[in-house]
Amino acid sequence: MQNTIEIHNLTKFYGKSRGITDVSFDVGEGEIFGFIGPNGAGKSTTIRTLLALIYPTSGSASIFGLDCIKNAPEIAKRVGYLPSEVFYYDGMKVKDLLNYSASFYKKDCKKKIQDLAGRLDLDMNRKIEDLSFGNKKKVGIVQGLLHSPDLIILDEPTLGLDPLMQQSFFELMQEENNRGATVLMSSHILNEVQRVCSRVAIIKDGKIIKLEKISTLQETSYKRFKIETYDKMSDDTFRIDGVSDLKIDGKTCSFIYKGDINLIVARIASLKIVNLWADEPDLEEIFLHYYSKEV
Amino acid sequence: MNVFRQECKMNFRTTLLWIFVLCSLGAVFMAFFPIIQGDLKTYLKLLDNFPPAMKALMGIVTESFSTPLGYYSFAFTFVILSGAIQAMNLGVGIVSKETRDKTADFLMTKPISRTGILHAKLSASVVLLGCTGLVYTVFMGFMIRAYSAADFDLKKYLLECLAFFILQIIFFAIGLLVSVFARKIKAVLPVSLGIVFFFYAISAFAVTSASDKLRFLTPFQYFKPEYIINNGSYEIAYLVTGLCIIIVCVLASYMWFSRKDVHSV
Amino acid sequence: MNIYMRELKAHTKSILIWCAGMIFLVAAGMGKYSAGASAGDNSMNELIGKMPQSLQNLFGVGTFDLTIALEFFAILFMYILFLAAIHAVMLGSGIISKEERDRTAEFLLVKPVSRQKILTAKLLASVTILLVFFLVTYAVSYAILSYYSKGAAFEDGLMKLMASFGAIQLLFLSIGAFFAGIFKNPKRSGAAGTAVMMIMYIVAVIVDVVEKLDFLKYITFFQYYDAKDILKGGYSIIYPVISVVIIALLIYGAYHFYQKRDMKI
Repeated sequence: MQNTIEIHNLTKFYGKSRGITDVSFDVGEGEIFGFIGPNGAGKSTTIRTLLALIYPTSGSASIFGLDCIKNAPEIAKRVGYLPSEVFYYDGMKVKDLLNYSASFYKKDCKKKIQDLAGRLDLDMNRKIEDLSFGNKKKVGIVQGLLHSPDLIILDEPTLGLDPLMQQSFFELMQEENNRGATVLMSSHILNEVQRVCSRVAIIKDGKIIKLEKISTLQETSYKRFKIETYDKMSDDTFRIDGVSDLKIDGKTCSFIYKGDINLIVARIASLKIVNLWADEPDLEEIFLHYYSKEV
Repeated sequence: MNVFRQECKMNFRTTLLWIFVLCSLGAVFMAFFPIIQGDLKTYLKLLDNFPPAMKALMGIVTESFSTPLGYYSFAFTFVILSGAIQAMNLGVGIVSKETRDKTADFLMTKPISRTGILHAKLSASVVLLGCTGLVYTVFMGFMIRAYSAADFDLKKYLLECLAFFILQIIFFAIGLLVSVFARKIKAVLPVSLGIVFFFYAISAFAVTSASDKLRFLTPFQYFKPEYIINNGSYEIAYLVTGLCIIIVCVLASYMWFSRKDVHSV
Repeated sequence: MNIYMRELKAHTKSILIWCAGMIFLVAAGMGKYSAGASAGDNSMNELIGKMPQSLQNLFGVGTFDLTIALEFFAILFMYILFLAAIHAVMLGSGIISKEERDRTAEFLLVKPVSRQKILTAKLLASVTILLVFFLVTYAVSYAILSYYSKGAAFEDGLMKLMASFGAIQLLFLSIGAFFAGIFKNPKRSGAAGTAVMMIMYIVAVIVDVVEKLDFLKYITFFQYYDAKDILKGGYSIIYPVISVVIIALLIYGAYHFYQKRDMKI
């Protein structure tokens, strides 16, 4: 399968301050790829370089096999970009902006505009400047999708949308993906990434620190246990290799375990249990774990 | 081209306003011509003795002052000041607005190259300024002619009007260059007024100095109405300088704009 | 007050540029004095005396003895006032509308400070800035006039002219502030203020030339402080009184509308 996006050692310095350093990853065709990291990590810098809004200090990136910088307008024909904050020209109505946007693509987008506007409950006749933040965001979403792009780049897409709209939005993304579009989504809202993406890259301080399938991340990760016993536990009860973050409080204890699950189950079975909780840590915990422990 | 059409649409109302302002200005000045004509001989004798510096500052051309066209040179000086502001506003504003209104992320991720964007904006500006010039030329042409059909030298009048257009393009180009290089322009009006008055002040200086060198520093002195009336042509040195400025500014703007980073808001 | 200090700091660069511009204007202008009509050479005055009154007024040279530095200065003063008016009107409208223009309204206007207090702080900062501009203009004019006057008395006349300078500053500041108070759109308030100022200037020039239109004097601030009347006597006290009333009304309007209207966010 072809790679839609290929990034090789992309580096950007703003004067002396680092933007991103040696960022490399690929996004395969048809993937929904998550791009996460704390504030200031370099997500926007990477995306803006892909879109040729800013120019790299070194390294390269390609989309659809074409160089991002040299062939930017060519690439842009098949890319839809949803920025995190949406601003438009003074006095423009929603329909004016959408029609203006459509005029850049040599295809008839009228039907798709109607479709999308209807789904997102967007009033086409209002002035954009009069809309609420969330509604402006909807304009951004329609504007980014109306030409049925092959690659959709999203920067914090659900910021400002109410939960119902978030639902609609993810349904939309899924449909576009089913249609064959590749999606690159940057966010620091981890459960949305977890819900929707198949692979994720974690960036911190300008460097990629993890590149993994979501499923793998969860598998090779820690399991969180919480146990309530009839009898008080001793400090030694869970002193096993692979247990960490152990908190014992009389008859309750919690810990994180990584290792052969049979061992820990055996130990738990040896106790008289009142209640037991075993959790897949969600991406947030995994992430925060990487964030705190890392380099 | 869609960006071209959009830019024309967005700047249409302002351009209309400027056309109105320029025509009114010209009309007001021409309205005084009858007063001058009434006392013609006295005026002419006076003007002969006027210090050349004073005449040059007012744009008065003695020999032809009695003719509507000659008198018009006097009005021209003030009209060109307004025209310069219009052109400078357009030049400083048309590119920087994408950063100022934060629409850069929208426009510059569309399938259009940076050069393409600049082409569209420049073309729209030239068209708008051209229309301004055209309407003004026709309007003033009729006004001046109405005062005296016989004395009306069409060729010289058209040369003056072309000079007006070229001057506007020069100011536009300078404004464009400034806006492309500046990081962020929060308000266009102060910048454009500042630049225009700067050149106007140099012009005042240039008029009084003996050498012609200062004339090169200010576009206001590139097309002296006096010279056009007397010679029916432009002074080549200044025309070339003006065209060079336009070319340099535009080329530099293209180069810089293509390489510029567009930062998030 | 913190807002007051913040505004002063924010305007430092701008006030430096404007002062530089004013110094340049006064210096260049008086430079023409030495070039054109220095003391002892009365030919200039003779020809102006022979000019028809209308022409004299158009050039602003009527009734003045151009060999006297102060009186030449009075003609230059027309342009100095113009500059002061532009500065004041843009300062007035800009300092208030900038919160909406720069999208800092949501920051400032939810702080525990009333809109009234904010406006007061900004207006006080504006007056301070105008004062700086005033003093710089006064200083450089004084210096240059004492150099050129060669002993002739000018202090009194200059003081009166500078008083009118201050009045024009305050009048146009009020206009700018008033429009910023009324209009949500920051661009509109700047444009409206500038437009009013330009119209007033042109009307002032017309009134000078066409005697019949004398009644129009009252609609243009520039005619309230006509240099001719100030220096040659015949100045009526009614103008400062009208000015105070107008300023009070405009400032009241600014407060009233700013309090009532929606913020543009």
